[in-house]
Amino acid sequence: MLRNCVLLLLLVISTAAHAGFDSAKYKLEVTPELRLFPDSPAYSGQTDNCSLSISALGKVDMEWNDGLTKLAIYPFARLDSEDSERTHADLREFNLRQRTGDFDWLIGVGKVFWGTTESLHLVDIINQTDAVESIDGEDKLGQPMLSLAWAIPVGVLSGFILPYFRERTLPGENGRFRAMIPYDTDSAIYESSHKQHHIDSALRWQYSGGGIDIGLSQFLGTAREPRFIFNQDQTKLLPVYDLIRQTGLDFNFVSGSWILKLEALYQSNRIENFKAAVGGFEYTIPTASFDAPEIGLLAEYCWDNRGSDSLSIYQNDLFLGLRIGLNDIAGSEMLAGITQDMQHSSRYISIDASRRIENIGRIALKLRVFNDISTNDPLYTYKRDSYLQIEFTFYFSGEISKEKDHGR
Amino acid sequence: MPCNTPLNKISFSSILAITATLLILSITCIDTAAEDKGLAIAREWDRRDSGYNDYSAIMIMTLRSAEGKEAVRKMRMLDIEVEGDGDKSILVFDEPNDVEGTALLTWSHKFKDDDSWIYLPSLSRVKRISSNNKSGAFMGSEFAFEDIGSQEVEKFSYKFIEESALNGQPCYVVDLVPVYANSGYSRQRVWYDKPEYRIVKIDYYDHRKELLKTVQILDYKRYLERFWLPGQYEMVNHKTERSTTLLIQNYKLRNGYTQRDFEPTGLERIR
Repeated sequence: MLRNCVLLLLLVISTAAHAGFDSAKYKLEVTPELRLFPDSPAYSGQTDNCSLSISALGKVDMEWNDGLTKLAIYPFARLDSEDSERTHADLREFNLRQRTGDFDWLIGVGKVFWGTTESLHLVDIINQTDAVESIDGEDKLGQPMLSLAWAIPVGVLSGFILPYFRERTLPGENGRFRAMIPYDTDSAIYESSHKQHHIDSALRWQYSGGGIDIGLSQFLGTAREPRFIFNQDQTKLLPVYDLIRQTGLDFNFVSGSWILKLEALYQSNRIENFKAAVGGFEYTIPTASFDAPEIGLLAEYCWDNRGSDSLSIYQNDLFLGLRIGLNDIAGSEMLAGITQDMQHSSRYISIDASRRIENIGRIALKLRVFNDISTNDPLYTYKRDSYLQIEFTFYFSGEISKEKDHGR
Repeated sequence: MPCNTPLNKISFSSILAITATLLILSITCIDTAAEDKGLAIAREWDRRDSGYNDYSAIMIMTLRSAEGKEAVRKMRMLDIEVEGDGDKSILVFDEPNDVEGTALLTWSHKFKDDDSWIYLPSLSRVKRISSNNKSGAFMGSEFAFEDIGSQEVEKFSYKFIEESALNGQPCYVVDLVPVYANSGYSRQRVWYDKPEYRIVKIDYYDHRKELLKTVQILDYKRYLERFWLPGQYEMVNHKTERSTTLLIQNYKLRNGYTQRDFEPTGLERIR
């Protein structure tokens, strides 16, 4: 199935390429990164006080037919000085998009995001998390898919067929952010006898207008988030991917300086059906001044009806955040957040700050602090993994275009 | 002549009162006339500027510090008219590199808050954003977000000031007071050139009523034998002595865009 998809894609691309593209853009982002861990590691073999890493993301975007046909090729690779599991490569995107009337087709490896909240991405499910990249769950692996979006009179209806499952990347024995017992990612267990070849599917309806955004989604297939069991001699943790059925809702309501946000889901699986929700607001302080920075205040509450049994660290947590954008030439911005567990004492603090160095790239600082983590919190095994990350992204780009078109 | 009869006293105060009333009335009349005339000029400007259906253009911004240091920003602008409401527009960033592919979608509305979304390519995420940060600087330039968005007649109240010549060109001068929330300006003084109702200059006054910025709008060209569109904006900040040049090139009108091209879902297609 997968091989057929790739072959079909290559065939379409070669045909399209033969027709001659209207424009092609090339881009390369190279990011060296340094992580400093003030605490010595909790478990033997883990990274000591510092790790060095470099990643590269290539981007090729081509267009045909006045922008109606588009091709994207985004390869990614990382080399890590400490964790061999973090040294990895992925095809983030490799897809062909076609607009035909009210329909948008996509075939290939794609990336799809659903959701609205800041502290947690509850509803988002199409792409697997590239968990060795960061602990935030913001980095995703490319997902092979065939998707069709249909613009109906009210909103957009999208269908997805996902013929191949991507396993979550997990830190190796030498990596931080792991449990006491290392993971064995080569021995994943599946509920489906088709394992990675189980065909997952999803349906979504989305509408925006009149100050609201609403999304309703249904997913049938392999859980993106694994649970873990011991191997026979209890020396490794094996990821288990169950089959799930998940219904999700994401919602925004905008009024003046306020954006109210909600994500909620219901999941049924063979272990325990559950409900979870995250909701809150983002308030932008009105300024009425040209020089004033843009300041946003965020508050969200995360809930999961499994309570302390939840795999999720966000079972009963309050998130408070502060976003500052200076609107200056360097595009300086910062997002600071604190997530307080209302049940246990655990606290998780994150600060992201970045600014542009004109004509070269962008420098970013990321601070993650695990504070007062309680023994029965899933974060407990990370309690010595607070870190400061410094990274610099260099950008290189080029463009070929037959005629300057503005796209659509 | 002594006039100390009560009757005389009454008449005198009555005359005072009547004179005062008349004076206030006449001021109000003149004021209403000035408002009507200001609004009429703005409506005529809007009428001449409507009916293009949609357009696209390339925008090149050069930001200049007081010391003369420069930085360049490049964007693509797509805009579609909406029957009975404000335009919908998409701004896609091409430079600087770190924001390349970021797209800003705005549905401007005549009588309520605009709707805005931003597409963040690194996360493949379309994010709803608050549209109340109108007054802030756009990408570190001397333009505010509110200077760049679609200008709707209904977003201001008007007062005609005078007819005067600007660079030898006869102009209507009108004061515009924003009626939407969180504008950075107490008023804008706008020069419309007399034959064609093109905006050629704007003085921006901050909330302390001091002159903050001036923009000169130059290099107008006619498209489809009807629409006058500017090629250059020169914005100067009088407080900081920083300036920004905005060049607008490659105007294309009537591309055949549809409302669907301006939906938040599908914004990722833009990159």
